[in-house]
Amino acid sequence: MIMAAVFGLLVFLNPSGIMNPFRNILQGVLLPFQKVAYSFSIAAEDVRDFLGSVGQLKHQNEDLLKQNQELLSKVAKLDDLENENATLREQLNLAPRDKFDLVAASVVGQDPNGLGNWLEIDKGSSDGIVEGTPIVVSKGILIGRAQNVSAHFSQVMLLTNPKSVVNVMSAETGAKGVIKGEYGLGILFDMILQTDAVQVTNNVITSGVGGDMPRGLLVGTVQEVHPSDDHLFQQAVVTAPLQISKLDVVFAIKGEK
Amino acid sequence: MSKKIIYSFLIIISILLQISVVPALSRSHVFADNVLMLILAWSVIDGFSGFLKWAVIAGILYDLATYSIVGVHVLIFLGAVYLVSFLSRRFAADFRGMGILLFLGFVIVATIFSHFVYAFVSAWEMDSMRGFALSLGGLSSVILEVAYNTIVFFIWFWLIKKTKNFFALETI
Repeated sequence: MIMAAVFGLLVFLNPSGIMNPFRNILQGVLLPFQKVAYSFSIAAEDVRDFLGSVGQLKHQNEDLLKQNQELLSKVAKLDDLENENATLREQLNLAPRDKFDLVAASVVGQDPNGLGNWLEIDKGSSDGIVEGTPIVVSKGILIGRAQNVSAHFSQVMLLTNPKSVVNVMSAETGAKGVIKGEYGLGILFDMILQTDAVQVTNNVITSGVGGDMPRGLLVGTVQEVHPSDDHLFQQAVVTAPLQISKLDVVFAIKGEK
Repeated sequence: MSKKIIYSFLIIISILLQISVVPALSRSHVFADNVLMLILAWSVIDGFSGFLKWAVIAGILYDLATYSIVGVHVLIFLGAVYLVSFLSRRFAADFRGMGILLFLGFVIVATIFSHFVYAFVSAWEMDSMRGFALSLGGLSSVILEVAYNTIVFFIWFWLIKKTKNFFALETI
């Protein structure tokens, strides 16, 4: 009972600063093993996916041949769209994605409670990562930002974390707001003015307001729009374009080139 | 000395599994809590007083490794160890010959208890009761987690028994 009271008090006081040196030592020891274990797990998952899909391969091959023919015709149209995209990007004042100074990092761990609150990566302050550094995949899809940065590893607070708040806007309509995590269940685009237009299928991108996040990083797509509980704002449920639990490599944006 | 090394090794392995293997292999957001089940199985084998200090050590290591507030998992593990002790004393006679049902009871209560503690800490951190409800999850996810935890519990139980026999470690 005394022991429970002592640790209850410890939780209440939460002296994270005092514990950080111990945390760094433990995680420094665990990191190499985590790297091996995580990459092995991702490889095993890939093998499981492959084995599960062997029976479907023949059917898929026929489908792919048809799709290939359709895609060839679409390529020509995409050339036009590329030009249009460049124009839109210029109008929205988005930073071209190849302008970011990126550092690649391997994922070595995840939130063990299944809430999808955080990832752990094998890069830290010695690689130029600081608290708040945006973490992306495919050079332009935002997944979160760095926190608890140590010399050689960092925790990434994912967008689904309830503590995560990022300024965003609709790429199509320019409606501004913030996205908040929903305890691992998804992402909520909140604080949208009632007078602003947001529609299902709108892409949500970072607005760059506040200056701590580059403008134009993709967050996800609007899936549903509804008024907030107090009816003062609109809210939109946003789906991320990737499955974060299967990531093995991410990129930290150290700055712009 | 060898006991300390073996116990520490198993705790570290279970933490590694929980952080770096299970989430990557899982296809849903519900999965087994390896470390909690290790503690539960071990406390069944070693008893309350024999395993208490190891539950505290495991809790601290797990908190440090998962960026949690230090003490959260210690409380959960202390609760689990106490629970095993209490339920064993209270129901061991009633469940004589039906140990598996008693073990299943341990797993169910420990899983629900850990859910409540996580949800409470999450709500307290966010200062929001909405967080409590969301972190608690639905009934189906709790049932699924109990099913996974039961399997993992018996794996750890078997593994600890074998390890103790192999290294001739005493059981209290």
